[in-house]
Amino acid sequence: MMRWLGALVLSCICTFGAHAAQRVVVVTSYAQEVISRMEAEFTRANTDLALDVIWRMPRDAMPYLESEAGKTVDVYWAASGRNFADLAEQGLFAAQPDLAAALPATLAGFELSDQKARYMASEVALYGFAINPEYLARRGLPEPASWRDLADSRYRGHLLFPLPSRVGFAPLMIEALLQRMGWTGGWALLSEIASNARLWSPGGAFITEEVAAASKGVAVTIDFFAASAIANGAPMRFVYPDVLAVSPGHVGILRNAPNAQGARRFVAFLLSEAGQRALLHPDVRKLPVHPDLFKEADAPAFDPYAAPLPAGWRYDARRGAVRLAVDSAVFDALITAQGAAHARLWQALRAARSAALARGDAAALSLVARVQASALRPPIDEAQSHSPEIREGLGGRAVRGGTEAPPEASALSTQWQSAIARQYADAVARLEASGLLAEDWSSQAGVKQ
Amino acid sequence: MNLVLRAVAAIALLLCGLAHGREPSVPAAGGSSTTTLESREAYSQPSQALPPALLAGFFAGRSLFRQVWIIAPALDGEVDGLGPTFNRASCLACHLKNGRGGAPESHEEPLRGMLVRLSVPGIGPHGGPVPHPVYGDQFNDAAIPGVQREGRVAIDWIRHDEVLADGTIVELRRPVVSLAEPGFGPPGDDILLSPRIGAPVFGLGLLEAVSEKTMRELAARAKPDGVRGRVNEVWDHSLGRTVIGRFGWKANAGTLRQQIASALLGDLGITSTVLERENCPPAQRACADAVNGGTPELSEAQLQAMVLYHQALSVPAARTHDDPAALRGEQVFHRAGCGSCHLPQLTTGTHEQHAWLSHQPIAPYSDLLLHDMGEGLADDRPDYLASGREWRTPPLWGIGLTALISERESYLHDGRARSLIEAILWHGGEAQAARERVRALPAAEREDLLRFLRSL
Repeated sequence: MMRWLGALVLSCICTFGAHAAQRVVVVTSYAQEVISRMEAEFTRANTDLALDVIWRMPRDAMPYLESEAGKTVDVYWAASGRNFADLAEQGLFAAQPDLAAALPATLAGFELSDQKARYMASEVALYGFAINPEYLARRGLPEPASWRDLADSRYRGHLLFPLPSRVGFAPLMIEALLQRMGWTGGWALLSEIASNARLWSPGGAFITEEVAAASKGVAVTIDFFAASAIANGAPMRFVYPDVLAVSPGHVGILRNAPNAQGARRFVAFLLSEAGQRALLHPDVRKLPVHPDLFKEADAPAFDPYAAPLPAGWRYDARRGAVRLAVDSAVFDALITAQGAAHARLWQALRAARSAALARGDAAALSLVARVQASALRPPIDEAQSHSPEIREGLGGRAVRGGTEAPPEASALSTQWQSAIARQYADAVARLEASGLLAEDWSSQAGVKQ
Repeated sequence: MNLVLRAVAAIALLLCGLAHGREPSVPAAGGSSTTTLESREAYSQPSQALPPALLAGFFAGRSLFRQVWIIAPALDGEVDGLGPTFNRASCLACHLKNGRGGAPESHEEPLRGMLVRLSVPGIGPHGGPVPHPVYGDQFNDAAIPGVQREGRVAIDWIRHDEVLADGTIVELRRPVVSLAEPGFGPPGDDILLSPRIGAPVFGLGLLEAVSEKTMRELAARAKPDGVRGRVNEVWDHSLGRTVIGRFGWKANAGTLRQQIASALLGDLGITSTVLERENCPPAQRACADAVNGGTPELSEAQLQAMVLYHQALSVPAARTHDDPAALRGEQVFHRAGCGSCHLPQLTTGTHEQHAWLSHQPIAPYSDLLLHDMGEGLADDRPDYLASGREWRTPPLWGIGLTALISERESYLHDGRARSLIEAILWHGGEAQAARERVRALPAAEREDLLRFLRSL
């Protein structure tokens, strides 16, 4: 019988032989696999410290960290750039210039760590395409290499695209594409890609499971979901496309951290070679921040630091962060809420373009281009997308600049959706009136581009 | 069936291995709930037999199983209510990839895939253990801010060597459990402790479907080597009556609903429609006064989804048939007498809720009965009818994938065995004769036996 007497002897040995572990309180929103791996590695190397993990989604972490309860927290560790920027603005982080010194400033045009070292990037994730090579080969489809490739109508019915208003990782990807391709051009491309895709949202199979199971051939997703699935045996590949979008995960030490020394040791561990290597575990598979790790033999196959980038281009995180929810609302207005009307629009546009090409009719092609531009005009222009009034009008988290669209439709978003519905109906009517569409165009299953 | 359900159904079928593997040609380990997947996801596949209409519930249950629970109050009100005292913040933390947990390797290492059951001598209400008056029935080494944690569990290992007939030396170890830094004072010398690692969670719907009649017949049948075996009889809060036990290391839960509700409360501090009161012994006032995440914290729909998830996880197919050494080892397994308790074949009865779990020939390698396993494994903590020396025969299905999926091997109730041969050598009591036959095996036959076990 393991009685207390025996236990007491041992605990006395423990008490006299060593102090109780000091606790480091960490607020995070990482998945259990990430937490478990880092906790195990950290406490193995720091037996005098224990982690108390408080889990909060990013939208829930902010009020917690800003409240009295936040004063008991040592470290905030999450992938939520907006939260870190806000907390830094409020002066809630203690700068760690020595810990930040060894980190690169940018990756693919994206700022990684805070310039004032108030928070540091501890991992990075990039967006791209999870593909099932066998699925694509069986259908004679090439593996997509660029975002533009996904707009090819040959992928119609073979794509999954994450719904930004429901999928936490998607808004930053949308924003990055908009900044790189421009407000109008970006939305046009996204609309065309979405016309080939089923919109995916959480609640069922994971997006990568659908590709692994050959339900679809390509899924637009964030790399670590796919990389982890591949490392655990899923028959997939991950393609990093031409335009890279980077989502850094950050860590910062709270200014009033009760255990500032322990906090520094935890952060130092995350940024150390051991901490960065732990990111490569099959259940985690996030990319390290340190460029040197990509040069080693066991490094990830893709080195984002070596990727080409247009000279001078830089992602504007500050401008982007405040309109993530606006992007999601625009996406819903242009695509999600239109449903079959969106699909019908693209079917008409493609059919009309094919007919114009077949006729060699430049004027008709020009007409189709004008109709397309008119139909795909976003409900607001780029200047308005940064407007506080627009965020106010959308309500909910948009006011603060969160990543998700408000749960209830606002009057403004409803107004946008109605306007877009009219644009689509007008566009289809104009194409029908142009004589470019066959009488039975809408019943044709697939229209070659 | 709408389009989404059709799509999800198709995915589930494919996830079950049709897209990855070969057709099984050996007896399906889990009947129609068998997967041929051999990767680290092999414990995580939904049953092919699961009706498409239930797939949404399965995925909802998976989401809750993966959820890191949040301290209340929180904006995410459906998943708040962690604690006030608890062990881990998610099911996944102790059952990584639905596999088994493990014991700490050192005195300092915290429990990550293990818990410690507590009681004091006596028989409690409904015949169960008597919870410790201050620390309750499970030691919670974590707490939300503002609430005193119960302390820390420290594990020390006592090691000795066992010599096999061919001279091979196998180091065995057994844990000594101590409650360090007790938050509410010394618990007294009459406390009974029992460390338990997290057990694999697949195939449980099939075990739930094994009929009471079958289990009682298994207990009653004549067995060689002095092997007996008996059913546990335990209280089920949902049903409000005593039922036979089939889940847990001592078969101290009769239904998955009871097992899951108990784990949620004991491990995470999440109340449910089955166990509605927080796990706060009277002496722990701050625990009792802490804000909760609702009454109960887990809704009935959420509990049902979690139960369905556990009922529907497939069993990995055995890989014995294409390995001559494993086939030889299977013969050794039976010759040594292992199969007396680790029964290779059972047939499920009628599952009251799910016909797709009913009347399935399955290969759990368990009789689900309690057996006296000797002094070496005894925890001396009775649990309903189970004595301190008795343990339920743990199923062996899927055990060969342990090292791959869990990245370490931890067997027996307290994770003391780091390999299958260590686990075998700890068998005593009713299993002593079988253990001695294994000890006497020539090295080649012993390796065949282990190969067979690794093929399950």
